[in-house]
Amino acid sequence: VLGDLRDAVARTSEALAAPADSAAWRRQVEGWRQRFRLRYERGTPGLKGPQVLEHLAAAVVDHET
Amino acid sequence: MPSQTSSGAVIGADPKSSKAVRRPGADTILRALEAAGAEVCFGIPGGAVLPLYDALARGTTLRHVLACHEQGAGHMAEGYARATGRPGVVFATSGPGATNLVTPIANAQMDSTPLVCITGQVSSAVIGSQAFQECDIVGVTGPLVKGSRLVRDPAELAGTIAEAYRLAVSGRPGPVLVDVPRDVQEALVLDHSQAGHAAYPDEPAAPDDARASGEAVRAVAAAIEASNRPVLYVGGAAVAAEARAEVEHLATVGGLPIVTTLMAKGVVPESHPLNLGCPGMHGGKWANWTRRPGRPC
Repeated sequence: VLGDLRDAVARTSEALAAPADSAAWRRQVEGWRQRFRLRYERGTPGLKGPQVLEHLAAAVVDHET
Repeated sequence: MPSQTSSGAVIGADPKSSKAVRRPGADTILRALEAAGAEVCFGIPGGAVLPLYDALARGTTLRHVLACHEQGAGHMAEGYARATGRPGVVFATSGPGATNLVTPIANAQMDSTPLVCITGQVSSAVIGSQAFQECDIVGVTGPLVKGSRLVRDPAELAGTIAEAYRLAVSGRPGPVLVDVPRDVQEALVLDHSQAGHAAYPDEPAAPDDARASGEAVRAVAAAIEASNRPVLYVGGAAVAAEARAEVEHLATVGGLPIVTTLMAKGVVPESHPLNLGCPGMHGGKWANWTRRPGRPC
């Protein structure tokens, strides 16, 4: 497809008669994501970067940016 | 005798016309950039671009941002370009000044960032003699730029700069380099001279119609409908085209998981349930497995 991207993407959405039959596929991908999600070892001495960010995010979750 | 004004213009220098105005080539470069729409430039003075910096001092609408190193100037110009959508303009002197631009030029090529790099070159008479701070920067940057030219004819300066500015943003944006020997910067040029420019033969041809054909769009839609393991792989062009909403809508109505290149990161929120993030060495296994054979079932 050669042409203006924004226009082409919008027209592709309009041209779709039906969504892809992707429910099973999306469940499979979500299963991978849950199984291999990024994690870190907790309970060890010291602070870890992700741990700090999680706490900061939780502390400001109700604040407007 | 011609007389020189405070802006560097020389009046009455053209024997064919008493009203003709000639300016140093360096002033012509600035006028061409101004005419193209440039408002800001980044760089550092050096021996081979002193005429250009003298021209800046004589007067310009361009705001010059002084960097501490040409590489920094190049990256600043990249940031400016990405923030504004306009080409980032950067000046550097010959030799080491020019080679210090190689990293931002390469980066701009990878990231499709429009840059107009104007480098000073040793005087025409000594090019090829391994003169002080001489480097074939056109040759060095050849594989990295959309176009690069060594301007030998002062009459081609204005057109070459204008074309470089246009080329940087046309099609897939990227870096363009114009190398200007010091004597060409100092040569007096007719102010109205647009006498052609050095061609950029490597410029890709622009499509005749900027709108995708209906047939092509329908073919993509049909492929999506027929797919049972679709993935919408989004690149930086979606950001450049400001197509965030359109991409998110297509993913939603098409039932399409999204993976993004690094340049498209954030095109839809990372928290969007269909956004799987970036594949590649920094991405999750789930994002990589959507694109690879041999993935687990």
